[in-house]
Amino acid sequence: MQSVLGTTSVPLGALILSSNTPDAYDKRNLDFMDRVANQITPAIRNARMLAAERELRETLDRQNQELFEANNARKMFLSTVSHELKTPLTIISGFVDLLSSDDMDQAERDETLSIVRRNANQLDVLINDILDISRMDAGTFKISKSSFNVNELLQDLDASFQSFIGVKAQTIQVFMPDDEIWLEADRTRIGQLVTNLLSNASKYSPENTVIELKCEVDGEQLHVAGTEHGIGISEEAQEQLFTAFFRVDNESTRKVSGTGLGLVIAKSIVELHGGEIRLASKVDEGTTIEFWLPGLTSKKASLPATEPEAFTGSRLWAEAEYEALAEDIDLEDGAE
Amino acid sequence: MAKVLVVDDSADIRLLLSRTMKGAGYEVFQATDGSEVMSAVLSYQPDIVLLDVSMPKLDGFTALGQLESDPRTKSIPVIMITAKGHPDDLETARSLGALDYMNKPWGNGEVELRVQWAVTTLEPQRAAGLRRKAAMEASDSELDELERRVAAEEEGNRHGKLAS
Repeated sequence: MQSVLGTTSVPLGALILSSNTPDAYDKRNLDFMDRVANQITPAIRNARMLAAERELRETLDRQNQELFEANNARKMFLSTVSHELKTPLTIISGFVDLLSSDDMDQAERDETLSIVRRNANQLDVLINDILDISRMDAGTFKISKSSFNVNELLQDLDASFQSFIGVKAQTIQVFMPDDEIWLEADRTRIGQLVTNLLSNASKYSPENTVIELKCEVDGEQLHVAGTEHGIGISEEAQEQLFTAFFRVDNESTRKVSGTGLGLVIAKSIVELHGGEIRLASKVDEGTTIEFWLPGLTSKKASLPATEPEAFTGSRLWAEAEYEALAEDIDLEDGAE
Repeated sequence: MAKVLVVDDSADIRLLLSRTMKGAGYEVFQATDGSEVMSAVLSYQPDIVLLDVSMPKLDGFTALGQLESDPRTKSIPVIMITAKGHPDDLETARSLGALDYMNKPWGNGEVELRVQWAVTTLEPQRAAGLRRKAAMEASDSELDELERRVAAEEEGNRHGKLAS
């Protein structure tokens, strides 16, 4: 004997009674079981609806929490960017005012101009980082590959390294094989990547320390590692370092200007090349950031017809950046 | 010569403000973090403090709170400076007792004008207001004391009459 719970078109289940005795149940029993089934059905429906509602509420709560955290991270990021943009701008405009009104001697004038240049470079890097993050959001962050000599690239970058390590009297020790290394990659972006890693290393390590830059061939890949002996990063913070809008917040990092975008951009550059980036750090001992890139080539035979654009690390609004910005603006116009 | 204490963790900003204020005829002292503000104020006894909001060890608001809660430093006027541009910061600065609030970047000549205005106009007004408030509180306290004595005498007289 059985009674359907729910309706026959949308059954929730069934009540089944069985007996070894033939004709054990009569119509009276069947009617009774139907009445029981009619009583149980709404209770089961309610319980299922409550469970579904609870699940939905938990999903909504979780999504709300995620949105809340994302919103907070963006607010914090905007506040940090505002600070990072306005501080160098204040310094530049303030010293320019002094230059135009003050009767400085030549030494003071030279010092002032050097401060203005350094802060203008800082603004340049920050604006480029923000543009890169915007391009990543829009899916227009691209690379343009050509074959280039890695040894020469590092030599070209030396001047830009000096602009930030000189301020803290640091030195960069470069470990590089004598043999030339040729790579099929975006020379400008690889330059940006290495500068980014070393600039970070310089920021988070004390004055008068040595930063190591190791560059070698590792199997079929180029391996580059930057090591500093600074404050180090906790394991918990390491997990979030490659996340946009995240920046380790403690007394040591607050001493250092920055938006936390550098490593996010570095990771994107490496991944666009099909490579891998890793970070290893111990608190109070220092940090190593290293990456591996495929695309090693044996000789300059694969050089493109035109020389790739040289990365200077300190230029202001070079032609390529104007073009990239124009592309972004075109995209936005298109979206409207 | 009026004395200014400049507090900012950026060496460039400290140099800029020092040169600007020295050029305007002030004697300038410097501190690099909010945690140094109290001792610097007690040592240099400045006429005004230019205090940055964002600093690594102790932020400017906390440092301002410390100055305002200590009777030795409560009367020192403070102008807060910030690059964050958060609207709530102005309210926070005022509620904590800052005399004025300035955003980075400031205009040509703005710092000198604000400091001069603060030292020559705002601060005397605030000090006069504080003196008036203190005098009124003292008067209120004297009145309370008089009322208490009169009430005590009346109570004494009533007891005397009952006894006789």
